[in-house]
Amino acid sequence: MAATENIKLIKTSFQQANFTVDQGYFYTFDNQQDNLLQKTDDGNTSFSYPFDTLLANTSADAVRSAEFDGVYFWSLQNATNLTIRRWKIDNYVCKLQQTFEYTDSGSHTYDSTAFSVEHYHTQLSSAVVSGAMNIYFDDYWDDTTLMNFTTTSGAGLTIHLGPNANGEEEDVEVTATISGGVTISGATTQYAHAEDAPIHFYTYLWVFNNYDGISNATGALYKFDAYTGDYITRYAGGAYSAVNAATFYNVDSFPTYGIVDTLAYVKGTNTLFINIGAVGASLPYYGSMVMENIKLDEAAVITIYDICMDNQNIYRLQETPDGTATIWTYYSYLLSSLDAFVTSISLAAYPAIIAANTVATTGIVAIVKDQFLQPIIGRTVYFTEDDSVGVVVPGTDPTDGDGKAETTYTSGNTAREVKITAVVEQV
Amino acid sequence: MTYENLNFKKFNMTFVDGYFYMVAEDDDLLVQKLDDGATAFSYPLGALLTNAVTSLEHDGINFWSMQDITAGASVSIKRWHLENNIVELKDTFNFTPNFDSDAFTVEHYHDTLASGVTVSGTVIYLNNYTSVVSSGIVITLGPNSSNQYEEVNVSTVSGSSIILVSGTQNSYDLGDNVNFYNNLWIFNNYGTGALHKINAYTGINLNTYNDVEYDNIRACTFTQASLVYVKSTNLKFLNVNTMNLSGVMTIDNLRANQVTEIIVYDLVISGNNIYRLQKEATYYGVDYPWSFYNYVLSTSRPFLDTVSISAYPVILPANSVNITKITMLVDDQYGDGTYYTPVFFTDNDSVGHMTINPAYTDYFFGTGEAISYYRAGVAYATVNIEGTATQYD
Repeated sequence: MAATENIKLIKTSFQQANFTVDQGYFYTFDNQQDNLLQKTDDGNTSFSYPFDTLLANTSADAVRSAEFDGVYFWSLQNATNLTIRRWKIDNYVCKLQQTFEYTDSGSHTYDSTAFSVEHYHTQLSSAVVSGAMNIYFDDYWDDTTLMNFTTTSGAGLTIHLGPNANGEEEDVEVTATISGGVTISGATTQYAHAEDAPIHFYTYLWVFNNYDGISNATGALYKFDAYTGDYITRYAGGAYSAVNAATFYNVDSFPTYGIVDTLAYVKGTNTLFINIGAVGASLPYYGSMVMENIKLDEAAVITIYDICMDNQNIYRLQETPDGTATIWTYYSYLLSSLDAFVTSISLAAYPAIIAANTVATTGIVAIVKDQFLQPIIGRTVYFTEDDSVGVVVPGTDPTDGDGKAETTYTSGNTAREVKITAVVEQV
Repeated sequence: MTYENLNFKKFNMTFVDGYFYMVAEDDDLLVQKLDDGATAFSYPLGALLTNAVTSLEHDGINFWSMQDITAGASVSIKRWHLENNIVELKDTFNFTPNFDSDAFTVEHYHDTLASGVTVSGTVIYLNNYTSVVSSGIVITLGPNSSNQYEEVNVSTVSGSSIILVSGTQNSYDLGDNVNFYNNLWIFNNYGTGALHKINAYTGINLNTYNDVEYDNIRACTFTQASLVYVKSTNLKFLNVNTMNLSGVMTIDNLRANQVTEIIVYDLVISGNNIYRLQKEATYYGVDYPWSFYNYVLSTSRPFLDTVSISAYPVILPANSVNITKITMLVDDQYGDGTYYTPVFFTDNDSVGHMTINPAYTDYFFGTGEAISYYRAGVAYATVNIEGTATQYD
């Protein structure tokens, strides 16, 4: 059954061609209304936060990508300049915190509709009193690369503490690491924070640019300091070109790696998960997963305008539902899952042509994979055929370590195309 | 039922381990599809493409694509390798001027080690294809029992010993897989047709075989030491060492009118299965045009393909005494006679009858002939005799 419209974001002039999610609410920047809209799943606007700084109303000035790092909202506009802005909801207003403008130069041409901010989340492992110099938290304290992050202006990593029970929150700057936590610089904490209070921090901006320097022969993934906006480096590659959707998320879908913080982006029908912490001239991937953003003709790829993740859900912003030729009036989301699911069954016969003599046989091989192209192991495959005389025996077979299940078809007595079907149930 | 399967939007195709692959240059993707048209996965190309891929090959390790860069004048062949979810570009060879091609393939071999190799080993032995290994070739070893692969460079070949430029990083057991490629073969429509043999590592033309036979070839592939190409309604198997045809088989790429040829855009052979990429097909006498490209199957297994029946003499007195010799010719798709195939005869005369039924095609000489005799009836009439042969394996 075709999906129906849900959050209903305005398509005209890319007015709401962006979204992000936080705690069950979807957020979109609307450059014509000059609002950050909070929307519910059914398309209702549950709240809106006016911008304190107006955006121009043209389609070129529309926000093409939105991100949320746990504290701040981030927007990307791809007008004459590439503009990335950091915003914060404060006293019912969406207040601009910082703006980074990227202007074409002799070294770089900017053309991008997808970016993300590298951000991390943990919680205090012990309570912090007002005036504390050391803070202790559950995760990342032993990641020296992250904790020793330094901005291009020389400042240390900024950690956002809170809100506490009084709704108070503050930023502190890391100066050194200690066992189980960090020492903060200069002044001590202003507020007390209970154990398990949230901690958020961000480091870099990652921009998918359709140019590598000034060449559009390939694309590039640009890395900027998220505090100063300064250019750090870039990674060239065709896979980074024509990317419309990206996000940063903590993913637990790759058994080899465990839980990882990854930059995810959509290319064609797949979401790829980059290991941005790797060192080298290119960035490796934790993995890749296929989605269903293909039209009814099984050939044309459906554009995904933005992507966000929440728990194990992936929300894809589209104007065409999967597997259809329909064009919605509005953008709505389609779902994928970060949980492994049976996604494909390859079925082949060897040989594929046999005599219709009730004697000849052919081997049938099914290969069952999940969306990450990993084999589905130990799952029963049910085989059926549509021939009144021919038979498949056995009718079931469990998949092996490669996701393969096999059976044998014995021909019928009529020359025809026999359709053999393999079915696997998701458990 | 319209017999559609892959629904490829591009006319290039290869097949690896149960999945079909297509390069979509407008999305810059290598798309991995299932038999029913569903997309199993897709891999971004590491380098962007502008021109359509007209032919796609896989050599066991690498994907190879051909693009028409300047219509009728130049083509580009690229080697790609799947690395960490991306299809990385490894080599590009541009051929110009006077290259007008729709089909190419890469000569590649799949072999196994004839003996184990220890870490740092500098000599390897193959079971089958040492004769086509030469200096400069890169051999891919593996996987070994630890699922490791590596590429090694061949320094020299001495007898059955293949001497490597440097020692192997891993150890391998007898029987572990070996893959390598050596030459590209490009069909060129320029002039009256030619087939180019090109060093697949350097792009240097090694030989050109001019022949009208190689003109207007749209689909080819390489399998088991043979270059296989579609010429009209035939599939031809060319031995690239002798440049002689080792076989020809007919395929059913004709419309229902039995006259109009259906274009085969690309070709893949996996085991006995031959997959022909077409935009239309004829099934059981009905034409099916498609919106996209799908495969049509042939088989390389010898398969009963045609029967021909003749009588000598064809006119008999209706005296219930005279006989005529009935010869049934049973051929497979290669035009070879089938061996010891039973042929069942029927006639429509109430008195006349076949004397030997069933008759078997000859057992020794591959003529495909099954011989029986018809004894006349008592009424003057045209007698229809039918012979039926059935494939049993």
